[in-house]
Amino acid sequence: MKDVRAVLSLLMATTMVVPSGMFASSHREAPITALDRAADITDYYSFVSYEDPSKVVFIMSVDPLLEPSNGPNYFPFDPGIRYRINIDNTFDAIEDVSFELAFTTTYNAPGIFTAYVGAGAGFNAPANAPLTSPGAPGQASPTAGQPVIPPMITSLTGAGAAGLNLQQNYTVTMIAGTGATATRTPLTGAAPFIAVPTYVGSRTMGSPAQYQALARQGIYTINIPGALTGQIPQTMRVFAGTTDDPFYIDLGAAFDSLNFRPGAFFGGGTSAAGVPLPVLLASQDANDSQNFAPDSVSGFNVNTIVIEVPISMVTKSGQPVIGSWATTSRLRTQVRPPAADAPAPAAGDFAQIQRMANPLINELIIGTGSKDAWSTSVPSADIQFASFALDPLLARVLNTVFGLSVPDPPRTDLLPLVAYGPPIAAKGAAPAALTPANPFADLLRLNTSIPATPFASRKRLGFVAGDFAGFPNGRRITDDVTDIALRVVAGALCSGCTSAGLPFNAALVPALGDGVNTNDVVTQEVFPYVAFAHSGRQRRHVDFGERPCSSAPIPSVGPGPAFVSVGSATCPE
Amino acid sequence: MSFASFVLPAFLLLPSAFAAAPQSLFLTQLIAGAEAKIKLAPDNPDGYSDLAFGLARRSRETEDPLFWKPAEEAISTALRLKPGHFEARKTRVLIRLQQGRYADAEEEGKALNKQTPDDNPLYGYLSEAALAQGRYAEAEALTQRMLDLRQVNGPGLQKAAAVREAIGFPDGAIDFWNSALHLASNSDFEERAYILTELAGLARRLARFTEAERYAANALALEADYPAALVEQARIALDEGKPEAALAPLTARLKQSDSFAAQYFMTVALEAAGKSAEVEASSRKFLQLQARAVGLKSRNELLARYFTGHGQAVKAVGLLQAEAANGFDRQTGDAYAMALLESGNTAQAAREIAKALEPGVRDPRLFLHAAHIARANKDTAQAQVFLKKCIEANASSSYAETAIRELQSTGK
Repeated sequence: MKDVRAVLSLLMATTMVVPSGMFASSHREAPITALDRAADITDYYSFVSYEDPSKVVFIMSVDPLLEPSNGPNYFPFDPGIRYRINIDNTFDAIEDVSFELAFTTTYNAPGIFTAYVGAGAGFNAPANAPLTSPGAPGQASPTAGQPVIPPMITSLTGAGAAGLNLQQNYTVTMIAGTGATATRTPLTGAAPFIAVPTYVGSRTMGSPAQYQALARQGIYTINIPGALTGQIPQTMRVFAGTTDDPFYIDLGAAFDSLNFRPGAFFGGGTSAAGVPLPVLLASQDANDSQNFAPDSVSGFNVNTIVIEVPISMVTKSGQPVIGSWATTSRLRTQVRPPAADAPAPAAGDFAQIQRMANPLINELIIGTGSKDAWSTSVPSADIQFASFALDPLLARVLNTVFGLSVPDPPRTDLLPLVAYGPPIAAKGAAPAALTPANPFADLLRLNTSIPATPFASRKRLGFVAGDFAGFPNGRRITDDVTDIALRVVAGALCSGCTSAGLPFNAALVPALGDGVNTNDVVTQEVFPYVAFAHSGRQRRHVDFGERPCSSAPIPSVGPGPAFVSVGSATCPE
Repeated sequence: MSFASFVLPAFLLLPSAFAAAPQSLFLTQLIAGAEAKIKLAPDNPDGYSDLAFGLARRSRETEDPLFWKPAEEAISTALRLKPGHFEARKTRVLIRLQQGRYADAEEEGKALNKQTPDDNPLYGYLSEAALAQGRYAEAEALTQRMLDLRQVNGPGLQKAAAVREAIGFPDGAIDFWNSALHLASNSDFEERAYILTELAGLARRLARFTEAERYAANALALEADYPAALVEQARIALDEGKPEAALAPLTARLKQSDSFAAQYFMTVALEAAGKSAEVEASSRKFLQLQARAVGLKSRNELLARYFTGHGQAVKAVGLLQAEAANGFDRQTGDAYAMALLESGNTAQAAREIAKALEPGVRDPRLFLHAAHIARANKDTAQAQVFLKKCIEANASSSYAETAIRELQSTGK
């Protein structure tokens, strides 16, 4: 457990120097993605399936802070981007298996002014409809009795999908190996996989329960031949669409030079300068389902890709540990023109825009002049960024702002998270760390032999709280990476360390936190695990002490908790 | 304490000295803005850094090295006020490139790149330095990095165009230059004129003279008497075999200020036009200017070509020999090869022209030279290969005409 470190520690570090708006896990953290938000990976998760211990889940969220009411185009995936989840199962930080998604967009009714439209059973033009006109491009003027508004959208295909003007289909390709020798296996067949649209509102898409039913149609099962699983034929599931952003944090306080809210939670202690420490009361720290400060990401959507695959498909026999990361890439402008007879875009024709494994590395550890370089580089070359991790600025900020004693650099205690080794990999299972066979690399490492923790005993502080199926052994959507990072950077897992030359006692690291302990809506215990999208019409960004618009929360599926909030605010219907 | 006094007086002397040279409004405003910034906050290094950049741009515009001195002074002031000032140091890299001091530019550019690997223009500067020293693969990788970091990237496309030409994709280079032109600010006439002049040069090297003339004329329409475009116009005329037509633009250019390059082409044009009475004066002036031209990008190439063309090939070889060890661009490589040929070292000439052609160059003139070198080495088969490549590169060029004649004379 003492090995949790680096990446977490990476969590908040540069809060005092990073431009505001970049704190949310990985939301617009680098110049290149601040200008290319569709390619911006906001968060990346990997965990053993809650539903099937023989499977592993990878979740990639992109396109940050999507305001649910932001029509008429809402939030399509970018057809120019290749979205990819990469898995290393040989400890060398080079992908051995990858899954790539590519999207295409079709406008089924280009004359309609919005991406999604529908109501009830549909409306026809009334008797007093205006006379026929030449019509707008792509659509003739409907005359009396002809349909004007299609029925409410209840389906992704067929009659219930008439109002699904903007339709995004996608393909899933499995890639074995890397570079020019990689082999690509299409996993999607003739029938299109359709991305789930955002929840526009109750008139267009029905009640929350009806929208959930619609969204569930976007869960696709793929039959995998035994040749790809290394065993008998199995299945995998995939989902792509707009969902709730499951990340949670008090961004406003964090970026106000760590000005957390001791009025809401104050476990005691002040710095020498009289600054209250952001320390949770024991009762607050033990409460994983209630917030004590505003969740700045509440009520926002994000575009999410979820895949759940057999563990045997992504691991080497007898070796359960994997390291994974997500990437977005675009077709590059090539200095050397491709040969006229070259096949249509090959892997080398794409330039990586961003990558993400552990949360908050780029925003809080990597210096501002190197963020694009980091985003566009590969994990196996991460040694060039090691210096940023060995003396994380966040530790110095905690020391300066709150007067906390923090371990002296170099923080070699943080290294195990950026190399394979115990406790995530069993002792002796991985090559010696920081060698070419096990390089310094930002990967989200996961021991797939550790089963998922049942909901009732799951801890938001994950590994730090003894819940070994949680971050940094992979990352679940419920893991409170902000609080974990604050504590680990402050030295909570550092034994045998010194601080200002004196012995450092990790047990004295207080229960640091931002007061946001849970997501604003309940995540799901079943695939695709994230909560479905917020309603555009009913959207609210719910702060501590407020209720969401609907008197009833969006129902959860599975054994998750009821939504916890206080207050009585409601929205007019 | 004010540092303005270190910089402004030197700069203020310049406009009167170069009244005949064009002064683009965009650059004038850029420089005026920097001066205003200095006046407002004389202890702020940013104003001096901006001023240095503006002066470096003006140096490119006027082709006059006298702007470098005040630019360097402004950089020094910025660095005194803030040691390590990034933009000031970056502008120093730009000036080193303008001066042809590629190794110095690389040394400082690489240090800055290590410090801030996200800075996009630096990749372009490093690419330019690598290209000029014949390291084409490195230049390609640096430029690709530049484009990967920013897809819509005018400066990146400019560098990529130069690399494309060097590695044998001149048509693709024209595409990139045109894309860069579309991305250039409509108000930055100097930048647009620069791009059009580069396009003219590329078209000329491909012996597409009508196209080249059009680009040069467009550059001059944007910025009347743009020095580089006047010289380019003359070079097009010379390559077309119309030396008389080269005289007017070169005369206009030389009225603006002394120019080593323009004086070289004036000498060549006068010789080709048979104006022997004026050749000697121009030649003398050209040789006088060589001392002042130390550091100018193409100085040694032009000087070597001059010596080679005037029975002093051994001198030309000596001039380029030391430089050859560090590698140089293909045009200088070609000049070196021709000097070696004329001095009788045909084996070495063959090696040098092969190096100049190595990245995939499709310059008909270089192929013709390569054929002549092969013939001197009694490698008739290879000579014919090069003559055919010269024709393939552009069948309607004057070089191709020569190549066809030479092939016909051998009965092939």
